[in-house]
Amino acid sequence: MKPPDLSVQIGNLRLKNPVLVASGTFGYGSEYGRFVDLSLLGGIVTKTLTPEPWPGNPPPRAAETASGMLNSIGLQNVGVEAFIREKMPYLRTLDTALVVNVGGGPLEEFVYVTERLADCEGIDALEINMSCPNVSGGLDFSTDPRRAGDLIGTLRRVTSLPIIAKLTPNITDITEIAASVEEAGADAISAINTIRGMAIDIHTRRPKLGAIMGGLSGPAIKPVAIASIYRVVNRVHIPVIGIGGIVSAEDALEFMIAGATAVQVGTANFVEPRAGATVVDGLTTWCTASGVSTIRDIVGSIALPSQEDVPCHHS
Amino acid sequence: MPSTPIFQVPAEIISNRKIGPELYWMDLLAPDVTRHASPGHFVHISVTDTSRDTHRQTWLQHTPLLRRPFSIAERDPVQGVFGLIYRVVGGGTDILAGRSPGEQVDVLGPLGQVFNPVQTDLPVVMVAGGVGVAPFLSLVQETIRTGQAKPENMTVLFGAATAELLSGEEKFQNLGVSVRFATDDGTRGHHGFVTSLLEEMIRHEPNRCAYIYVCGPTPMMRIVQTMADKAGIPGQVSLEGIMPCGVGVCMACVVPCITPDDPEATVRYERVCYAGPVFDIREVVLI
Repeated sequence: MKPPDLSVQIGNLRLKNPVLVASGTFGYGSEYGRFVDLSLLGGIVTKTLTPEPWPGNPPPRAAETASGMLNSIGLQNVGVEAFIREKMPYLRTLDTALVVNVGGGPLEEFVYVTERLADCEGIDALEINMSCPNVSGGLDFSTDPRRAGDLIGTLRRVTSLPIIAKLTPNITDITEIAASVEEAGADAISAINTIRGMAIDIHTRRPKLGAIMGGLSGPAIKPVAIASIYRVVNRVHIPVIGIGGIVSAEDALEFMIAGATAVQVGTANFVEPRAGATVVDGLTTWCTASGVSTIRDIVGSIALPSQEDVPCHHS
Repeated sequence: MPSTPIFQVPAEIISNRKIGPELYWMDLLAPDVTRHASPGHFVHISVTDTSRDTHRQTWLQHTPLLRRPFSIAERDPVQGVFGLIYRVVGGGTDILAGRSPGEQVDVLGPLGQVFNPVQTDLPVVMVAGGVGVAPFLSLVQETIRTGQAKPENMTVLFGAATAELLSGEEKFQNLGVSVRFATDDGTRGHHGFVTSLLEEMIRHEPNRCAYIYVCGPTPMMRIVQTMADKAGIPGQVSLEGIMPCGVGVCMACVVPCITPDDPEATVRYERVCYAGPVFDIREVVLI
């Protein structure tokens, strides 16, 4: 029997399968590349880059929570120049799509990084981290539809690479931002970034994170992510990449049935470095067993109860 | 930076025995990890039995979510078995304490940077606090195995809250290395902190303290760092941290570091799992 076709399309970008690894959970590829076969992945999203090397937040920067973890890394990264010089030569050798995550404080910093990467060979797409909860002003661009549109519109003019706007759930209505970045020219949306969270050590009464608050990730946030994806795909026409607590193929399928064209595996990489590859494997198995010849057929295939199915409650 | 190959393997629990109050020794069968490990390396362990729980949903298999880091305390390259010491301090180690021989744990390792080897004719002191003794068992064992230095060139200063927490002392004695003890409650050796033993050694036997290794609670390491600095003794420190990934990608387990020979250089955050866990004693800012 022919193996199922797992390939998907994100704007101009064709992925051999819909499973990427999320920014901040896979470094610059080489760390896991020492013992994981990266060619099994649909793509790698690298750690957020800022114009200059960035020191990040004071430790402690992580705390385990129920089925999840908090982090307050604060975008510690090598900076765009060192990335091009030291990380790109390795990343170019990989047989998987390369999505480079771009961040910054003010808009000019996003523009600077995007311009520096615009003619860097080997990059397949940019993901714009307009939703980091761990840097001052990091959330500004994805909590105000006008500013979100400004940012994406400005970047649209400086690069021809596909632009993926990464959105936060820390907002009343994520669909407003989604509509705004679509109109500004984003090729895709990825969601969700971490959910703001906090934990306290009751013995010392100190926050468990040095930065006091951080971002929650892991299986604990999956239902929040699914709801966000479901709402966003009903509002926009561009592809949506689902992120949030995926550890298995079943999780990935849930996102895709809700409407995600592709997914990113994040926190699970820390626990199981082969999590991404395992999800790809599981998708193949599931499609084969379910008679699905192309995984694109399941995107948005959610079976909603029709009005007649819903029992009418009279009070 | 690191060149040791990393393995991710299901390791069989050979033994998991209580050696003190809330204190355990675990032997794991993992030939590749064991053969490539050096003193100072650590392993990142998933405490649940992932091999047996495959019928469960994946997120349940991964509860608690994160791996736990442990120093390699001993290794038997012939049998392919390594040992580790742990203290039950929370939910993860509590689950580990309940695991039985014959079961498996998922092991990632060996990870991190290793100790500088003990030099021939360079008398060294290893200052250990509690389970911080683990990497020194490994260091002493390896040094004697390779014949790099004689047992009499190594002194171990070992402190704990109480005598029952002084784990693995018989292993040092079997290797012919002298151990001096300190306990907070005076139940064994010096009544007080292990740092007092080091202070005495530096004062009365400076020729036996040419190099210092230290691993233990942060306040203890900070005192040792100050003593080493005052006496101008070089050395290394082994740290731990809250470590989601263990391989340098998540940037969570950082420690502030300075450049000892360049006071102008700014403080930078180094990953304990990747640039460490072993650092130059002058390099880390212990807070």
